[in-house]
Amino acid sequence: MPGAFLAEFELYVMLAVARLKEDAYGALVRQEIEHRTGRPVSVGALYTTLARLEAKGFLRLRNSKPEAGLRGRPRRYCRLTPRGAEAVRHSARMMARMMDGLDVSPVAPK
Amino acid sequence: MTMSTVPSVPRPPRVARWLLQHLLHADDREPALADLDEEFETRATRDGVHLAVRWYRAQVRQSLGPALLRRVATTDAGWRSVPTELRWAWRGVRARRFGGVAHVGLVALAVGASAVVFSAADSFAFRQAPYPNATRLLIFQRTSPVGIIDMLQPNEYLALRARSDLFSGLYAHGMGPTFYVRITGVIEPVRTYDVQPGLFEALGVLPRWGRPLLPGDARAGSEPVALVREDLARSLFGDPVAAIGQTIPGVDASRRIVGIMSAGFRFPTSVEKMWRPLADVPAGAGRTAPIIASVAPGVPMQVAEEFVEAYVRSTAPTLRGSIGPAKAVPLSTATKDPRAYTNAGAFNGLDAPRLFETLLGTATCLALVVCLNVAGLELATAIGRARVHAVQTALGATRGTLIRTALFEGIILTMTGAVAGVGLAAWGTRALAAALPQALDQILANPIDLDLRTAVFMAVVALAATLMTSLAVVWQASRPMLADRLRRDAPTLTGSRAQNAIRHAFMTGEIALCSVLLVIAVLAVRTYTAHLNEDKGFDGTNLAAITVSQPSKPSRPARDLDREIAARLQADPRVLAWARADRVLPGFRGGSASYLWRQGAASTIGQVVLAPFGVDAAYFGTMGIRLVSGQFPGVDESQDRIVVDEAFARRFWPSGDAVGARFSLGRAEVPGTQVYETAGVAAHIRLDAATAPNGGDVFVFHRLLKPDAAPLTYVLRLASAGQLGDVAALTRSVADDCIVRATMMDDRYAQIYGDTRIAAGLSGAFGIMAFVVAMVGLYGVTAFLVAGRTREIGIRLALGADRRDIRRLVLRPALGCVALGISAGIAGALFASRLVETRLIGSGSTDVAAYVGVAVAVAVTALLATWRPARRAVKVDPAITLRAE
Repeated sequence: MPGAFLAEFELYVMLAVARLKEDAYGALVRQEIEHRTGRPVSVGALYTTLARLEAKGFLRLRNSKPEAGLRGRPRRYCRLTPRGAEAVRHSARMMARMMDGLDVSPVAPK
Repeated sequence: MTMSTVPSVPRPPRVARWLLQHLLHADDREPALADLDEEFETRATRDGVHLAVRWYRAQVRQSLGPALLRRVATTDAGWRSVPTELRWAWRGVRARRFGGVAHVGLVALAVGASAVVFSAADSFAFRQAPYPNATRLLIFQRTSPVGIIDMLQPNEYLALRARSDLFSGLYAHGMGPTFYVRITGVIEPVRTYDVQPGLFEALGVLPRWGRPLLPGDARAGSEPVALVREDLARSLFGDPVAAIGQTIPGVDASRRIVGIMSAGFRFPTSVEKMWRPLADVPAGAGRTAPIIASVAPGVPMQVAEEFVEAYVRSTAPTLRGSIGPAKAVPLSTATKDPRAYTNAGAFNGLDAPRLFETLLGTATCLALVVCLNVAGLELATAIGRARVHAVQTALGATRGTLIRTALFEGIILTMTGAVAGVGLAAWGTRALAAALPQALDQILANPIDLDLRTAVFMAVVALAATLMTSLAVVWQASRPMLADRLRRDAPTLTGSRAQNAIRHAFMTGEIALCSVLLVIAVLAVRTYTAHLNEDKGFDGTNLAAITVSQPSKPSRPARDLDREIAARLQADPRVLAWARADRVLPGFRGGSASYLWRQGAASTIGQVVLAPFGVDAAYFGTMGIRLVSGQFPGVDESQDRIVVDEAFARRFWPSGDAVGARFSLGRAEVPGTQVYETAGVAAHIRLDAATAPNGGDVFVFHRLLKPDAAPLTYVLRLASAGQLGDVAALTRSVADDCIVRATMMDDRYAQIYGDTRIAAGLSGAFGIMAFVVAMVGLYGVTAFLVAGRTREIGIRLALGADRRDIRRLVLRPALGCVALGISAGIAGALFASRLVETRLIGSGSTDVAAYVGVAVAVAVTALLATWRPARRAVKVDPAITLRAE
């Protein structure tokens, strides 16, 4: 699938959205990535990436109706598009091919 | 009754939240803040408010970069792509017409002029000694009647040498003799300098090619070797690499080149091009050779300095007279003037660092005038732009859009001006370096090169001035209030009261600074002209001097050569008169104060430095020296009969009986002391040493040369100055193995006023520039204001206002600013001129004519600059203006 490559952080976001299914919204996606990777994720970086993935056609974003518990603010829900799902699978295949038979132990200096 | 307490709801940190709110993309703002709030509350309950707040702040900090990138990258949020922004801004720049051109020109002027002066000042006054290890080296300075000198007493030298734990090396250096080489057939003098091997390594400078000087090079009996500078090697051998190992073809000596220093290397100044090895300073010496000490690695500089101070204090001062104790000073911070560590030119009156520190003030004033002008023009043109901005706002442009466009406009205008200014500065720096008098150039340790830091700094200042005013205008213009006022056809568009006040303050400041600069310029020019026109004590018209230097092993006796030259000069019709002398005015470097004794008196009558000039009997007539009393000695008179200086005679023989007086320098009874008899008193002759720290006490006295003396120095009265080259060539044809130097006496005197000339030239140029800038600015601001108020003027006229009222309406605020500015400027100039009072000659700091002249010139020109816009305002036809609306 030419042109459907995902950067590392983009892949994390896509995988988190895929895992959370219809519950995927900004705060949960961020926590999911932090929880699984141990990598701190800023809300600014997440929303910039979400917008980029939407522009690529990999995600569909939707704001919920403003909710009382959030001082009348909406949540941003995300859903994988078919194109996005294919991009995730493609990236996973590529990763598997790259890792196939690879010994990543450091090479001792000569 | 019990009071129930309501638990307070934790709130995210306010500033961080505000920042993120304004930075996030509009689409992301609400959900992102909702996410953060939700998680903040969870964390506050789970981990406590303190940790939650820290987490929130970290989130904001880490989000700034991505959020900013998203805003820049997206096109729908108001941040258009940079090319689009630039295109829009360029339209705005073009619409400015005269305003845009004036803006670019003004910035170019400010950047160029200040960069030139700061570059020169950096070379002269601020830059450290140009050696990598200068911060680890010490020099030793003492005060003396001839200024700061660098010397150690023998005991001090030995004490320092014994402390090898503190000092890793002590290196002597000093002036060497002139070396004569024949370059392309002409004999050229090369100034040499002697350095102890290891000194250049201590400075942190190695030869570019070849090897440095080694201790063996300085031993008695070893082959004479030298280091030479790259430019000398090129002129002698073409290729500097090929010069290594070659013998320099000296006229009467030879030295083998062992290393080539790079072309930019200067030690101590740019004049020295050959360095010879100096033998180790023997015990008991060290009185005259300056010393540079290298502080041992790991030893703090302060420890070494304190050791010197303690040692000097513990030993009784053994120096005679008024020479002060030695003080250790780091080479890097002592001074940037090589005279401080070479003792060269202690009598030289030039004070370059001070000169350029003074000029920095004028350059800063000019830059301020320009910045005020730029800001004033921005405000004045803002009236026209305000209407455009209001229309744009009404059509839906956001305040952000307008601000960005104004930002890019300012950047385009200022950067164009800055680039032009750098070009101007590059040219100006080269021109200044070329215009420097030789005496000033010789003392430079650093070459004068363009200092780009200043250009960048000035560009940033100009940009700040532009943006501050233009953004303020846009901010105000994009207020909904203004759009409403436009809709309601507001009666006037001259700007808010605050804008008016700021504009008037700018105009007043500009006029004040320009007046200060003009007064300083007038005083500097008057000082220079006073120097040039001062009575030198002789007639300098078409007067020239020729000096002939023979090699140390001349091909014929000086007497024979003198006879031949004399015969040629005598026969030459271009030479109206000529005479011999053993030195040429105004040069007098050296001499020490002696006690003057009247013959037969029991005690001395005072201390004086006398500059003896040995001359022949024709000298007085050739020079046109003015006789005050007595007579000039004739051909056969005794050498004891001398001609003294008028100021000298007045000081020691105030009753006017100097002629015939007999005196000696030292007790006459001491064998060998010469007793002089005053034959005549001549007008006071100006020497270059007169501007030295104790120069006021130096007097010329003339005595006859011995009959067989051949000093090979001649003064000539020519029919015209243009004939000097021919006469010099004639002399060279006789003295073909000698160096012949020929100069006009006026040029020699102009040299000693080099710093005054530069001060007059630069401050004059800055004064005129500031004047023109201020007046053009005044005209521009008034013209723009009149254009913006045309409708208002039309209404006033329609309502019956008198034409004189209209004229007053335009002129009063402008001329009020001018009057205030002149008053402030004169006060400022009075203060500023007091700071440079010691440099002013021929006019004091309270030179009334200069102040009145400048005030009148500024007032008259300001009136002319505002009259034309006022006339245009008077000619407004109310019918046409109102119909057009």
